[in-house]
Amino acid sequence: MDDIAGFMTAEHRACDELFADAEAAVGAGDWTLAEERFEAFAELTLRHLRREEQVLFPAFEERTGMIDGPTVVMRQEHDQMRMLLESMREALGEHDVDRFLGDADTFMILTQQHDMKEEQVLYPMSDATFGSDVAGVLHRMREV
Amino acid sequence: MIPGGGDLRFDRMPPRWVPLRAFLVAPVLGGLGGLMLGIVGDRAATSRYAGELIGALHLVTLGFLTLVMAGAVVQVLPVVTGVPVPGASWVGPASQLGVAVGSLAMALGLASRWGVVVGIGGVFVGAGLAVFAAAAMAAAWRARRNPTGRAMGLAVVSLVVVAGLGVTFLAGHAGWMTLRRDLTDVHLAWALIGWLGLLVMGVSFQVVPMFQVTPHYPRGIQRLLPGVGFLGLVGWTVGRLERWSAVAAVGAGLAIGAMAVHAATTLWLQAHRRRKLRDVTTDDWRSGMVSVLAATGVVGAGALGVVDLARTGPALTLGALSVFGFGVSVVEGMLYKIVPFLSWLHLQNLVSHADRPSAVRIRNMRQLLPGVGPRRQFAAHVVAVVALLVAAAAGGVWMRIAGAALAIDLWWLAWELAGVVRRSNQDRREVLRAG
Repeated sequence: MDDIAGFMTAEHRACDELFADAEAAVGAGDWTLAEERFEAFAELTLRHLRREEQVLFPAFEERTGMIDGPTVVMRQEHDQMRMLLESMREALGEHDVDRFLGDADTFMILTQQHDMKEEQVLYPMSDATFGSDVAGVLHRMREV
Repeated sequence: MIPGGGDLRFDRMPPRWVPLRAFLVAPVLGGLGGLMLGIVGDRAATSRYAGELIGALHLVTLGFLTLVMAGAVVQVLPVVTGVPVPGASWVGPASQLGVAVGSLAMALGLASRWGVVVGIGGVFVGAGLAVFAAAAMAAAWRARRNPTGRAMGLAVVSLVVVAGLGVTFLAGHAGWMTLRRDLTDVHLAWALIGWLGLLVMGVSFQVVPMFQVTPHYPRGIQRLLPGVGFLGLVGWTVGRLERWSAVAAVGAGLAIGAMAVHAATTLWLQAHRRRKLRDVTTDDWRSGMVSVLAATGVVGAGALGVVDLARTGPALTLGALSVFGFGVSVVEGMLYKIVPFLSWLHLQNLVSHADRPSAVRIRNMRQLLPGVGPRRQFAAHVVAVVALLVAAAAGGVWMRIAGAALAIDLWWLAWELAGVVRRSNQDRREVLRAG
């Protein structure tokens, strides 16, 4: 986990597991547990997005000069994820199973195809681009 | 050049209508295959070489499976590996046109024994697949370090073998050259294990762990299994053509063993998935993997001399399990995710460019595709597979019943997918009205 790809990929998987736990609680109709698990999932997910938007993307753009590249699409998809997270939170508040699970399914596919692109291209490129500065970028991301 | 850089234009995806058109037309063509079987009935089961049977089967294998699989490669490869398919904007439509028109023409020509129409079908299918294969192979070569990219590449190479043999068969049916029936099993094996099996394998390495939150496939399986399956096919083919029976037997064992190991691993991973909610895609995948294991059992019984696979009945059983139980199940399951997601993504992009994005709420995937329809359609699919297995064993009126069940299965799927497009078009109008 000493590189960006390892650290961020592990965080993707941790988010997936928290997501599956929250979804299972909604499916079982346990709203108190669902709310608790959802907030744990949302917190880690939002922190992950901030690590990228506040540290990784600006550093990548500065180093490569690619301000109109992959980070633009990644940011757009982050906005879409935030919108779905908000909609899921509303559905939880209203105890609306169908809407929550529908949003959850949509979130899952959006996120997984997003994660694949980051894991296959953006993170390996970042590790290669930052070279000996990887540790510094990682340190700043962990502090978010 | 950025070190380690792949292609970064993630957003250069083909317009939504390019894959959607293929995904909507494909089940209609596949259902026509069922209808054809329902009309000709037992005549299709008189021999595995009956024109009606070959025509109906190819409406399913080319018109449904290959049309969707080729569309999915163009769509999925860039996301999974970061390498886009070159010329995706025209390769997609051109290959779709060739495969759709060609499979229809060859089915009609084979059923009516009208040689010229069969030949025209062969030209269309051959040209469509050549365009697709050239572009997909170029992309897969660049993505060869990725296990999914490698398996997809081997699948596309297999498709070239299948299509090459298929086109020569069609030329034979058209009377343009000698019909080499002795190569039929080679064509079948490369189609089912090479093109279908290796492609599903490659896609599964990414899709199963990520979407169902299961453990990853063991690294050794991801690295070796597609290659083992492919080499097994090569060994079996060479052994068969050169009459080296030991080589053929080892090759067959490796190829079929690779499929069985993949199916068993997938079932094990699914049993340990963290997303526990039932979902029609998971059911489709599970029935696909069980069918692979059942097909392996039939081949094993053939190897032990319990059944004679050269007879029409066991050959049809094997075909029903691998094409319908495995291929159609898995592809149906994938379509139930891809079509609603593409439609949602399109709406979402529209909303984000609207002047007042908060003025309209678009439907999520489950609202675009309510769960009850797909669940019932899945039940109809299981009925169709069982009816086909009974028809393979009993023949008679069961062939008509199985054909009708298959038509219902695939047209119902088409209806559900068309419903997604209808609902997303309603939302699209709302978004555009809201400015």
